[in-house]
Amino acid sequence: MRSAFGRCLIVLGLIAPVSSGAQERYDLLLRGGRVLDGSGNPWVRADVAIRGDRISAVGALGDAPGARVIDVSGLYVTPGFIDVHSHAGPGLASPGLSGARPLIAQGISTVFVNPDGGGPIDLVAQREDLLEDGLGVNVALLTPHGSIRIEVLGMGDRDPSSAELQRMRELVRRGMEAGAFGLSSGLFYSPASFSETEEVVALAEVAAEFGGVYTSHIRDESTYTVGLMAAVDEVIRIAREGELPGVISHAKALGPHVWGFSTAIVERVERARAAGVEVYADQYPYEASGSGITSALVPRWAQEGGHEAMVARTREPALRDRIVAEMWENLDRRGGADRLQFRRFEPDPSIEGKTLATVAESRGMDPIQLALALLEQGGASFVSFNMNPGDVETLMRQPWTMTSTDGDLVPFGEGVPHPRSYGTYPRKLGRYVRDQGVIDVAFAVRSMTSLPASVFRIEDRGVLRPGAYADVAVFDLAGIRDPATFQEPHQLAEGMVYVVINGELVMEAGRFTEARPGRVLHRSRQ
Amino acid sequence: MSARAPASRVGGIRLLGAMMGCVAVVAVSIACHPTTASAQEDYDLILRRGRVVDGSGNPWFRADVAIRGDRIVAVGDLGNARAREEIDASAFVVAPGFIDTHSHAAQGLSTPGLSHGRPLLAQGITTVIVNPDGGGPVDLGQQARALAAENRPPRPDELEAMAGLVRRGMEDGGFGLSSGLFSAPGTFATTEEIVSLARVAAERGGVYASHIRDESDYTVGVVAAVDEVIRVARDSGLRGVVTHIKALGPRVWGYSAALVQRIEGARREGVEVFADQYPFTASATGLVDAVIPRWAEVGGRDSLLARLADPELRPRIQADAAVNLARRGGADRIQFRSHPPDRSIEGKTLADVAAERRMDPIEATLALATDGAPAIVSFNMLEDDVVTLMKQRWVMTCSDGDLVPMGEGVPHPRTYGTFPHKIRRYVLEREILSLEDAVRSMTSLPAKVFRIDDRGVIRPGAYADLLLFDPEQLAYEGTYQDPHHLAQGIAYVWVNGHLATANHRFTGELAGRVLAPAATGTTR
Repeated sequence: MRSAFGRCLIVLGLIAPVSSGAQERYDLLLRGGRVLDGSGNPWVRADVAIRGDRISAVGALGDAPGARVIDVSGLYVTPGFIDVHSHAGPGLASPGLSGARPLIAQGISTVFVNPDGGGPIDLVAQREDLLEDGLGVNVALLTPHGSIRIEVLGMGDRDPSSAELQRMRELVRRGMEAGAFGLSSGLFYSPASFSETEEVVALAEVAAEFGGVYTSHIRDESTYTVGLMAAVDEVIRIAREGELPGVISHAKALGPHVWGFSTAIVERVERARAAGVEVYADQYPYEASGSGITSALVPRWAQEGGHEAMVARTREPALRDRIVAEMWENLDRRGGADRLQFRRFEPDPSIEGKTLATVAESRGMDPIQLALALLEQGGASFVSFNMNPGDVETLMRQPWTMTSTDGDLVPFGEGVPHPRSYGTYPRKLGRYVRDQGVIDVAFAVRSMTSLPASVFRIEDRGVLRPGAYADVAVFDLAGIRDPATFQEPHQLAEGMVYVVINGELVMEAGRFTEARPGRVLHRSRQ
Repeated sequence: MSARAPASRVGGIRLLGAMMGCVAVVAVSIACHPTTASAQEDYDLILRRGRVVDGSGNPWFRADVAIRGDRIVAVGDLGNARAREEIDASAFVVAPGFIDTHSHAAQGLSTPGLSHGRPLLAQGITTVIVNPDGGGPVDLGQQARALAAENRPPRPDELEAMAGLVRRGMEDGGFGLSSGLFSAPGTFATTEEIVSLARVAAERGGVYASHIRDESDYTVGVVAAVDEVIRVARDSGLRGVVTHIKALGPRVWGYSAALVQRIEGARREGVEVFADQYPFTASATGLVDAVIPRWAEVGGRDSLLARLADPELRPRIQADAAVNLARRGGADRIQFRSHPPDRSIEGKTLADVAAERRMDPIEATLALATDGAPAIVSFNMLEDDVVTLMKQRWVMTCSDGDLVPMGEGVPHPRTYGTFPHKIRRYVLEREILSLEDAVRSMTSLPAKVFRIDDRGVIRPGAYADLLLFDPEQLAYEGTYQDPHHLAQGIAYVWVNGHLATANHRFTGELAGRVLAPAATGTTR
């Protein structure tokens, strides 16, 4: 029955002759690498050719007269990484940092700024600020709920009137018209914490009209208020009612009280997706988060009206006891004073890098007394060691989890920032892919490239294919590493060999070229 | 696209890799292009608000998909855009058409009564890669033909002639080289011979796809046979595909982990190795291939019959056949699917037939082999191995199926059910894979491996090979005894922008094309 002619070797299929065609001209040819195109497919060996700001060919490309040819055999060639949750906005707008070296060293080619509901409302002005000194990387903007709320309602704990809500919707609309990719919120932080879900839905609807996305530092990642699960459900509800994709930013189970809850988060997201609600998450690959005394320890009710009002309350004997009692509870949620490490405290940099427990002991104070004292001086930021490795891995394995840094871009050597600012992407590839095998390299790269492009509807980025923008990362998987530590974070990542952004090399043989080909992306209008 | 898509069409689906001999068959039917969108309309068709599973492995996203001519032209929120036709896809998954990387359907597709490819369309298959296992219609010369049945290496001039044929095939648009080293006479080929031919395919960016020398412990063993593919891929510098990968028979059950380890190790070293798989625990083959020792086949069928008649050799054949039958798990694990000389045995096991004939299974085997070449289904896999292999990122989906007249013989159910069965059993029931990963293994992964440009993905610029289905409705109700049932649940199929299935009914549209690979593995 089967055509029986010979079981010997046979050529699979032929019809039209293949002509080599006219030789295309390329500017740059990355030859012989292991190409991961950004999808979940395993690598294939291929050449990647670039002309202008676009990829013009991927395949076995033969000779390339006129092109600069770089041998990348043995290296992985992937789309440039897209950091969907970055605090680098202010840094990128400053002349000394706009080259974005710590990001480029991680292979990042695009960052999403204005996360957690923070950042400027006027995105047109922000775009100009960002472009003023040139940009090392591409920047995508979000329109920030928190800033809009402060603009319209101040720091108060109240709901907007219908006129105020209209005004807030109008500000979201302006942001979306200015090219934002969506609405960000930080319902954990005051005064956004005073927002009802309905308010956020009303704003998300405006973002949805433009095809935008809703991303949120959720109301509670622990057991502070509504609890982690209700906070996840709130994102799902906003995505469903606002009819737009919802993203749980830097997903985690924060503190011993909720360790192990990652499986419950997964279950909620999967169930929502099965019901047709488009929900995703992003994550940085560390067991510590970054926070501050105010947001991590001080109860929200005490924050109404802003910093001065809060400090005033801590001085009122009647309120102070209640605040102190709740701060002890919050410290317990964070796992105790030896799990909080100062990263930036301008009045006294000597405490940076030390834990709250250590500094309190050296001063003969209890940790809450110390925290209140530091609040009087403006507050301090810290790294909070509050995650469980199993939860980090469970969330990392989900196909809907993107990668993000949640990192700042600060002057080299200033403070003791969270090492995620320097090491996120190499850490995920080195520690979680190469060393521990928690996920494989194609899956990891997908979470950094085509998945964010798909979620945020970024056209022609996050993939390596002809016609896409030439944002490319080339790295040595065996050598990739993140030397930045919690004690000594100011160390650039290693192992990134070439980085191309919009067709221009910004890193060449491991060195920065100082080129600034970055653009401020504008959400495409269909 | 630098790869021209020939205007001729075959059947409802595209043939990938048909040989020159197929050219006459290709132009079975010419379908009209739909009239293009008029000035009032932006698109020919918009699929509204489906869950788009775009082939990449990313989770679904909700979007509109617009088609103009034979291409997808927009994906996103298309708002008030207008089209000649709109379909509410909100209850459906929108996926790229499936690509079957190992199909025996070419002969059927070349037949007027079967060229519609309905059993394939019902599975959501829009592209098949044919001529697998080193078989299929060929244009090889007499030398190769003469050499083919003999157990000897080619002389240098013969090897040069074979290389010339491979070169010609590749120049004429081949996607790669296939081999079947398990069956005679492919089994007589040395690795060196294959490497030298694979090098020729590599010059043109071809792929090497092999039914490996041993999927069990017949000769070199399954692990060494996988190593051989790795070696061919490494030494020839091309992509190797272990086709219908499996651990065949109780003696190698559990070896899937070793196969994974070998392939992962090779990939770490930079060798491009992939596999494809059908999601069943039974394979299909010939009784002779499965049970008769290879040495008895040297010289071809007449030589085999002579040896069977030789009183000295027959006992040796019997002894070796008994060992081979044990490798397959015994006579009750072999079921006849086709035997034209005696169709009454179709659907019965070798144990049944032997009992009816009051023979032992080996005697029955030799008698049947003398009458003809019975085709069998062989229940020889452990589902745990199937699952282990399925989970690997480099494993594509294939049917290994035929395309036969409905009701003829008792073919392996993979012919009708492969793709829906994989989703039904391994995505929905056993939750081994996500839907997105399963679809990836059926779409963008094969497109990547075989360098099929602009297919296997949903994005603007790609060909409009598209499916609409509700995963919960996917089903294949056939069985190994009663396989002639079409798969169910694929609601709509577009092939090159033409509607081939509408609301679960075939339109009769014949929109398939024979594809040629891109010159560089890329386009634009």
